Amino acid sequence: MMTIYVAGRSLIDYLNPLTYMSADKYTLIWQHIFATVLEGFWARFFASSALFLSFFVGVYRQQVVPGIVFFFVALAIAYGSCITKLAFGW
Amino acid sequence: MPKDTPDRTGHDVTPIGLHGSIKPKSFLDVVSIVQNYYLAEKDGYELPDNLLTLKGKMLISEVGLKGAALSALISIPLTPFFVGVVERFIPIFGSYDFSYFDQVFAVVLALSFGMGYSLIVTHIGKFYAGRLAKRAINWLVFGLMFAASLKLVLATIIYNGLYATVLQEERVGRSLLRLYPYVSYETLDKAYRFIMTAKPVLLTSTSFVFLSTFLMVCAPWVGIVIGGRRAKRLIAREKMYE
Repeated sequence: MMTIYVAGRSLIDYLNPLTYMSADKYTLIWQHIFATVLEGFWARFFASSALFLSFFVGVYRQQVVPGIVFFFVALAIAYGSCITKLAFGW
Repeated sequence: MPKDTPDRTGHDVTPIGLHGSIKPKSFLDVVSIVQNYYLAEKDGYELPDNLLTLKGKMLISEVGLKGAALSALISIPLTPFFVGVVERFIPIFGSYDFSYFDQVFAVVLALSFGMGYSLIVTHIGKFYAGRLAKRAINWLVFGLMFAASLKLVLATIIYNGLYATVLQEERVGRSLLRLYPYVSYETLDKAYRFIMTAKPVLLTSTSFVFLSTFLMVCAPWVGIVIGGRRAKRLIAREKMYE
């Protein structure tokens, strides 16, 4: 396999986020993103929006499959935090 | 008989064409069939009774049945999780501080799947006029009601079976202890306490499924009654202007 080296580093190293920060900091960023999206105000906002879209698309526009997809998005946001806590202990 | 003169060949014109023999696979196919019957009967054509054959009726009811069965498949396993939020056993949005919004959201989430399908069926109510159109809609709703009743029976058996037999203290304890070498005792103890505390949710879920099924069955009829009256009024008005 050919590897491109730029000033002592391979291109893959540049694509790896751990080149720029520690693994702990990187994990912390993702934990923060998950906590923001799956808990608190934004979680409630996103879940309610997804449920509204589920009704709008599924019932009003009568496009059943996208309606079901939005329902599961609402479900994933509502219970996502519990699942990540259970699975990863976050 | 048609209200106007028949076509040039002297035969009655029935605008149903092939639609009467289309095999309805989705709700939209049923709407299309019902709409054709409605339009033909509204224009004064008398459609023969046997245009909607027994097979046709079965196929139409199958569409209603499939939709309600899908709703049952999703709502039976998920309902205890929604009711668990209302009963303050299962966290939602990652917190045990159950606000009023969280509880309302859980109830709406629990009702949404079944009610969503019922509300889609409600749309067909606007074509509830004319003998054949009515009959086709009745068969669609019959399929939905049949599947909803099955869901009710199935949910009652599953929830009560889980509560009374599967989730007995000894059985749960023994099953969890089998995981002991792989999972820590503390985690297993937490899981045991959680299962035992949240177990009554299954009983409330049975009542909740009763309520949601009742709403799921009633919603299409409300739509059909309102839509049917509107359709009759529309037909009467059109006749008045002719």
